[in-house]
Amino acid sequence: MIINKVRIENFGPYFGDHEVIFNNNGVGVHIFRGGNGQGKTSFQNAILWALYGKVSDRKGKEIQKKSLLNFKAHSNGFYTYSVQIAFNHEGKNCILTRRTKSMHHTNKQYKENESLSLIRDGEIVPNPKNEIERILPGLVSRFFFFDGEMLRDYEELLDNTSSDAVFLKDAIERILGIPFFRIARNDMIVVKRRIEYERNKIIRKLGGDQYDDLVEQFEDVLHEIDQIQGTIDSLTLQKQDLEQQLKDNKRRAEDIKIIKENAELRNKLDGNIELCEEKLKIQEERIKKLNSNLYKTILLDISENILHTLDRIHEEKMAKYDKKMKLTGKLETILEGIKNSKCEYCGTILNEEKLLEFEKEKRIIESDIQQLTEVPEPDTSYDAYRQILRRMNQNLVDQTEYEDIETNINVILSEMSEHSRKLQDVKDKLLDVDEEEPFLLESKIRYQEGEIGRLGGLIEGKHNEMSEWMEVKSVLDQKMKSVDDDEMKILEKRISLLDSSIELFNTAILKYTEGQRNVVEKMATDIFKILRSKESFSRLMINENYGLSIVTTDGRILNRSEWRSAGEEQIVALALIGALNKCSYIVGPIMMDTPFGRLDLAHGEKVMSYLPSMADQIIIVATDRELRASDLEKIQDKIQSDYTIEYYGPDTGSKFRLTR
Amino acid sequence: MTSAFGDIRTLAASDRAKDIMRQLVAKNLFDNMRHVWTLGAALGISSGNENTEGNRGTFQNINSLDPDGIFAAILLGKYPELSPEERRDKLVNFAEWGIREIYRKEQNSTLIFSKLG
Repeated sequence: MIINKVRIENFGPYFGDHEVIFNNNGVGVHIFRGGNGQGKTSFQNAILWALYGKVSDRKGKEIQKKSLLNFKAHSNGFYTYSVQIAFNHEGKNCILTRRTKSMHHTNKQYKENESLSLIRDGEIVPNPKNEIERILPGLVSRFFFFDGEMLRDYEELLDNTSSDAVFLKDAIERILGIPFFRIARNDMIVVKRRIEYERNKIIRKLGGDQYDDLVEQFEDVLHEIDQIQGTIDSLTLQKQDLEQQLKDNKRRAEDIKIIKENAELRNKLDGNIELCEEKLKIQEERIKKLNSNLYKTILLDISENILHTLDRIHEEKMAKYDKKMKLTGKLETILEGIKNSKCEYCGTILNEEKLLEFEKEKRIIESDIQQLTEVPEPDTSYDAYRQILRRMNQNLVDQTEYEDIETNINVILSEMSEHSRKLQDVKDKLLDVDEEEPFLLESKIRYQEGEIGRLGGLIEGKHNEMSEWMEVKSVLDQKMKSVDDDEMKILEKRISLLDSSIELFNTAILKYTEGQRNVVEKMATDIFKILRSKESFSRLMINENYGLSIVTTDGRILNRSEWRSAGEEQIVALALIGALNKCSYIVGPIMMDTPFGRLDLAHGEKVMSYLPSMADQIIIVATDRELRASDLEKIQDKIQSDYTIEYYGPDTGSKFRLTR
Repeated sequence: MTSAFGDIRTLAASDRAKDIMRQLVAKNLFDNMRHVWTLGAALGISSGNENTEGNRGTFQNINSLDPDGIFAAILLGKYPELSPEERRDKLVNFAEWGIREIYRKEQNSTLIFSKLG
């Protein structure tokens, strides 16, 4: 399968119709670059949706169908989206179109109104879904369309025995063609069973109680075996289903554990914010206290001038008073002189002429006193105000204290802002949390673990039962072989031939699987050697689950904890995927989203150089940061298309711009 | 004895000034309206700016607003020739301007107490 063209309508961030042409009929390297959130992953999702009718997020959860509709289309009331892929497969031109339209924006409506068509060389293919499964099975699509960020998940899956790991192992074996042998063997078992029933019929025809009894016993045994097999199959399905549920519950429990930690963190952050608020309050109180006296500080500057004025007025007032006091004393002396006709200063007896002079002076002084003030006491109010202003500098505000407070407040606010930001993050994570859920999950997990154990025991018991019945069947087989009849002998020969063929296929399956594993191991090692950075890493070693370990030049097998960096995990997973693609009977494009995200420059360069040899069509979806010009130069002659994906806001959405 | 404000017992404030003072107290910048008023009055006096807008209503006792007699001393020293009533009106106008100025600075985030005055 080589993709030539993709048409997208109202899917994800793509509003309206968009056409992407893969130059050179799709063969070669095609680059789609863009920043985060521009629509790169949605482009890959559009292709996956067209092929398989569903897409998942990075946690493996299916994205709701209504969420796939473009926002603007939804706002405009267009409830239709579609993706068309034109591709070439086995020399034939195919056009695959998946479209859905709805009257209402509901998942149910989109699902019910989804249509899929496949046209091959101008003719409609009757069952497009089956045909796509034949061309590129959904089960193995993860090895063709993958997310670089998720690469190490493949390796993690291969490390355990969860149903996901079983699923992945099945997918790998399918890509290697192993199931075909199993199907052939199972077909032979069915043929053998038919012949056995035919044999029973012949024996019945031969007649006689002895034969009737033998046939009856044999048929009972076959019936029992079939029933036990049915029970084993049913129990296995139940067990797998429970294992899946258990895995989901454990994952949820793990999430809840984080939620519990988040709840504790929320309380701590709440406490921190309260503490900050208290600190802030203390600073506010300091400010308020300073503000209550700040007016004095502000008035201090002008108070100097005011003081001078008050001083001047006070001195003037006091000078007047002093003058008045002097005049009053003088007046008293004059009055005493007039009364005694004798000068109080020199003792001279005053004659009439002198007395008249005294009288005259008395009148002048009395007039002066009268003019100075009508109030006998001195005016000390100016002095009092003067004293107030002089005392004012006792409670002045030290303005550097404000600066200290402002610094403190800034520090506290910055702390608070940091705590608040973290608190909001935590609160977002704690939305929709049911407090009872951890306890319910715990009891569910306990029950499911017990139930899985019980089912495992039942399955084992049924296998034992099956072995016993197989022994009985074997004895009866021997008895039947002893029946002397030509037709019987022919059937016996056929059964015997089928037995040896089944045995041969069983051995062949084991050998083929082992052989394919060795091929994958060798291929993966070859790729790994190209991509590795450490010379001490000699080769890769594959286990039964197709998990890979690194073997060093001195023969040491490194376990994951000894060698795994995120980048090395990505390299090993990439080597596995590259090997699987080379060994696969399926031919498809390799589309990689963010393939270099975890790789350092040296590894990124090596991977880039290697990519063109992985498949006929390579589609790289990456950020500009990942795509360094110097790396691209190494594959310059292989690059056939170079698109930039840009998002222009909710009204316009994302667009493809061909730059090469 | 000379008194800066004569027999005046209370000082007035406009409704707008009272509203502003309430808001500034609510913002935890001041303990009470009296402290806003004193700072406003000081700002008005130091800058020489007055505001005569709005109808004035009784605000607080002069002894509460000027317990130490600082404003009386300043007004008397600054305007010795004015009558007590004229000095009182001047003080109230200064305060009205200063209160609005504090609010204006607070609103446009330029209220830095250490730089006032």
